[in-house]
Amino acid sequence: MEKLIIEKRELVTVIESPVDFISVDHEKCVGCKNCVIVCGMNLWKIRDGKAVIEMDYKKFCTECASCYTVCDYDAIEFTFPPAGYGVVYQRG
Amino acid sequence: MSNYDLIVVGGGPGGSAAAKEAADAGLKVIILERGRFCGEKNSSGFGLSPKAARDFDYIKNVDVPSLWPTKFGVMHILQPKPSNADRMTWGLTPPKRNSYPEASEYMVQMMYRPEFDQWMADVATKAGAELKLTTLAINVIWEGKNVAGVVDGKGNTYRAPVVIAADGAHSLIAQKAGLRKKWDKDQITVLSTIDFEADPERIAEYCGDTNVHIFMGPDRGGYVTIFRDGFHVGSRPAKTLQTEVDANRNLCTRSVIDNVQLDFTQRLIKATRAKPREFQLHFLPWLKTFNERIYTGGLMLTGDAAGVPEPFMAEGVWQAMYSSRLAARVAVRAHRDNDFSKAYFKQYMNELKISPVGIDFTSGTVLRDFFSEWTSQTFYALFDNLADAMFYSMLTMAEPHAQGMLRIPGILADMTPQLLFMARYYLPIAEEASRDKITGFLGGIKSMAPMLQNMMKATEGEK
Repeated sequence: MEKLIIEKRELVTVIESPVDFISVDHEKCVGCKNCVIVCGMNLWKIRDGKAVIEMDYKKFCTECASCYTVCDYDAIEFTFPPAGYGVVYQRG
Repeated sequence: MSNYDLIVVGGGPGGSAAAKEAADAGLKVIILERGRFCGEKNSSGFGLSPKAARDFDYIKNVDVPSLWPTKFGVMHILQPKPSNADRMTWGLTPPKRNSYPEASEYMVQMMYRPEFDQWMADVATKAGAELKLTTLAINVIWEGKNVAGVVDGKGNTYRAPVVIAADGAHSLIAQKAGLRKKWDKDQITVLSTIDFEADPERIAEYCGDTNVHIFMGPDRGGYVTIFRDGFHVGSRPAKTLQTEVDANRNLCTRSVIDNVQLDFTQRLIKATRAKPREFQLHFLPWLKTFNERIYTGGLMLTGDAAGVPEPFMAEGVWQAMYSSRLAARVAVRAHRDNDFSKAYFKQYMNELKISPVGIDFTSGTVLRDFFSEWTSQTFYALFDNLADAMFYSMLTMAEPHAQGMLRIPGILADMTPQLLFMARYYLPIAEEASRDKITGFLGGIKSMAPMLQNMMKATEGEK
């Protein structure tokens, strides 16, 4: 059978938050990559030994909080986008 | 500033169950929901178990467009990769022997969360609760050692002597009240799901009453759940974030994409003219021990915020509703006794621990790693042998029946280590259940348990 390609980013509806809701403290970050591994939307990268989140993460982040949870150095802060913004699950 | 008797943070099924209970008892209640509608932030599909109909009278009236009762389930035992084919399938139907009638009628009721969550919110508002949407509670207000209200993202304050935080796994209220900073990596699993839209008529024709499919293989697992006008393909559960970090790769998204490629899923997609519609990630507590840090002065955590999802089947909605209703009852008593101290709310934790939710949780912790195991070679070999012994050897047309039948004792003997491996999971559960009610059978199992557990040590290597 023909293989079906899943484009994750085309399959999420996100109302882009006007403010940041994830931040990373580069003083604390050791570049361990935990956040890169667990992000289901592939939004994290390591650049110069530090974790960086994609510029337009607010268009794709589904607010799962995995990056915050796996950060052993408390370098990642995560809240939620302001009410009315962020991911929209119509068929959750 | 607004004053209430009870503030419920989170408009999911838990929050609404709490609000309905408290409003029925005459409390002035408000629900604060961060979504623009209830269920906007909830993913991963869901099947409401018959337990909800048993425990909540109003659940018998649930009527939402996607509702799709599921009588049969199918377990697909998959060939090892790179094959996408089934090795065998087993049909599952509710057993006749159940402790209440609904449990024999259907396995689960499939619904989309926004529909169910909004239906539940209606139940709460009809009982008199106020619902405030698009409101993110970001902090708590302290009065001495008690939580006495919350603040929303726009700076509005809401005051009440009791707050029930039903605000999900990543509970901001739990964090602000100092009940936890974050979950441990080994306490969280992330489920990934892809929702497909499909033709309802074709779903009815092709799927009938069979709407839960569970995948199990030597190197993978997952599920498909079918709704009236679509279905979810889900990832392999029971891999915690710790497992993903250790494996150095994202297992849940890889798993869901693998499951889309299965022959069964591809046939379903084709037969129902399905198209992918939504990609979802569900952050889910998957605890090893019952979380006791679920209360403080003026505050009780319920549902996912409390970590009560049962860590075997990953069921959480009934747990959220049950724990939230319990918390609401404690809130009503607290008002009667005019005591909102931490010492007073300890009774919520104690009651939850011995409630059906707590008991089911404890059994679940014993079985927690079962989902990891059942995608192991041991389980695959067990089912493979069982099928050989029970079916192929007897039902074969390939050789003389007597020859097939003669193979059975040998196959069963080969299976001894695999059966003991299964017993290792079964016995602790049987022991747990028998604490409540020692029947002759469970009593017997219990007395045999130490002996069998000794025997099982020899099979450790199998794992």
